[in-house]
Amino acid sequence: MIDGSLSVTEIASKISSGAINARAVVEATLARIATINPKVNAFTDVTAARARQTADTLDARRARGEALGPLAGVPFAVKNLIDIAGLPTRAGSKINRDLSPASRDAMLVRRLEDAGAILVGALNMGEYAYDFTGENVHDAPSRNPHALDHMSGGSSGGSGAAIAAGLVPLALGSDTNGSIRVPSAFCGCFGLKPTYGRLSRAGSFPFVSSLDHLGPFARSVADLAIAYDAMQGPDLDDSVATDRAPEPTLPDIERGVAGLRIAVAGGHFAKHGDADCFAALTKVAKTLGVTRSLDLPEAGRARAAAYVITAAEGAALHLDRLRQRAVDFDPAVRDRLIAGTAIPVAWVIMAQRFRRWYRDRVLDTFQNVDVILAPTTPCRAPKIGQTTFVLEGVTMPVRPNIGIFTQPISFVGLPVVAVPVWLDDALPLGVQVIAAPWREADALRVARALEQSGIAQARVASL
Amino acid sequence: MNSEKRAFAPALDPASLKLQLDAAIASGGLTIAPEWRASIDAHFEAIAKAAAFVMEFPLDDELDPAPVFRA
Repeated sequence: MIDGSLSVTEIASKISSGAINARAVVEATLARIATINPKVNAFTDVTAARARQTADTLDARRARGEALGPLAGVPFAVKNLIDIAGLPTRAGSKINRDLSPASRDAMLVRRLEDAGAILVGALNMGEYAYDFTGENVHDAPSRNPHALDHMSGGSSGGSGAAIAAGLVPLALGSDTNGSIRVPSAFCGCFGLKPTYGRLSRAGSFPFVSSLDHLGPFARSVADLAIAYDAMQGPDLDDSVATDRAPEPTLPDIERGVAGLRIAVAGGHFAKHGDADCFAALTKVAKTLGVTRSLDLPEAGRARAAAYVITAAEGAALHLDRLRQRAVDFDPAVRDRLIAGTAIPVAWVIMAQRFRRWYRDRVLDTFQNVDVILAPTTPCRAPKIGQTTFVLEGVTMPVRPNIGIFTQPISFVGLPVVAVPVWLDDALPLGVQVIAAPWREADALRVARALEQSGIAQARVASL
Repeated sequence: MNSEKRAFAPALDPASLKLQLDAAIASGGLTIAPEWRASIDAHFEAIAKAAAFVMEFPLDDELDPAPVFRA
């Protein structure tokens, strides 16, 4: 039976063995999207004709005895800031819908399809990725599949919702300040934000070039690793893409945590959250037998610096659109961007100089530890439309503060696996498993150990 | 190399911030509806507070900005 709970690994294995064919997987996926997507609003475009054609090509290749890739027949979808040939790359906006259709797919789409995967559509997101909620005034919010009146998280909200609703087993999102990790936590799925520069961003609509990353969402750690491995590789079309050789992670994920030095992040990461977020972290630390804690120095200031750089680069990117079409923006995004146009250059340069200082301290820290654990979000998913929440007795605005624990990590480009943790039958929470630069394999090993223990798991919502 | 740690925090008084924002809106050629302004002011104040928090931290003169261009 082809249902929404099949993993990447299971689908690829069944298709490669001939137990099922790719066309049947695609038809089941399209049928599930047609039935369930109206409830969760994860998809903004469904590329049905293309998916059927790709599936038929794959089935023909198998019939000829050709070897299929590690993602053979795996349906996937991408955040709608990632180019899909023939569609305008809307990036959650109204304005971009007037762009010419993309002339070719983004690099990561091409790499996934080269590995046998089948693109089935584009996913909802917060406008221009300046968002932690998953809300969107133009396309309506993507909804949390585990509680439809709650946020999916942003800005890759459609990606998290599509995975948790069982619409696809693999999705791509982007993460500038937490936009893969937040929806992973709110929707209860696994997400990987790789090291800055590891995966090509070519063919994606930018937000903050200094901080932008792309990465996968899935319902298992092995599925993340397979997709991540298929997407690695140099790309001259992305000026920050690394020329390091690909470092496959899948062979390492079953190695367990023996030999890894793991600590819990204290200081900034031990404040600013509610009791549930720290309970989830404690549960993970206890499962791993971790008693050590450490401080990432000045993490709160790192968050502030990320905030300034984001506002300035985002404003510069959109200045002409703000001049020409301000009324066509989501007001919540527009007002932040306009404010960003007034940032003096010295503030940005100083934030980037502080970033250098912080990076040096973080790298020093990784001399004595391999993996750091921290909460992903300060609370479970708020309700859609909720504008404030109370953390440590203080009422705070929701939008800028959901990323309080994610921003200091992406600020220096560290690889993170966001793992979903369930304290009860209510909404999930997330824990960030953070590794040193280029050590994605260490984070995936720890995440896999947590998955094997049953502490971290992605559930398909009953819809 | 001799180095000196320096810190500088920007002015945070509302009048200065408003002037700064007025200048950016004018020089950027932006047209702002009056009802947007309170929200924009609040966002700029939040950005300025974040910037002040960063800039009051003393840094060595020779510290490079993080993105370094390589030819």
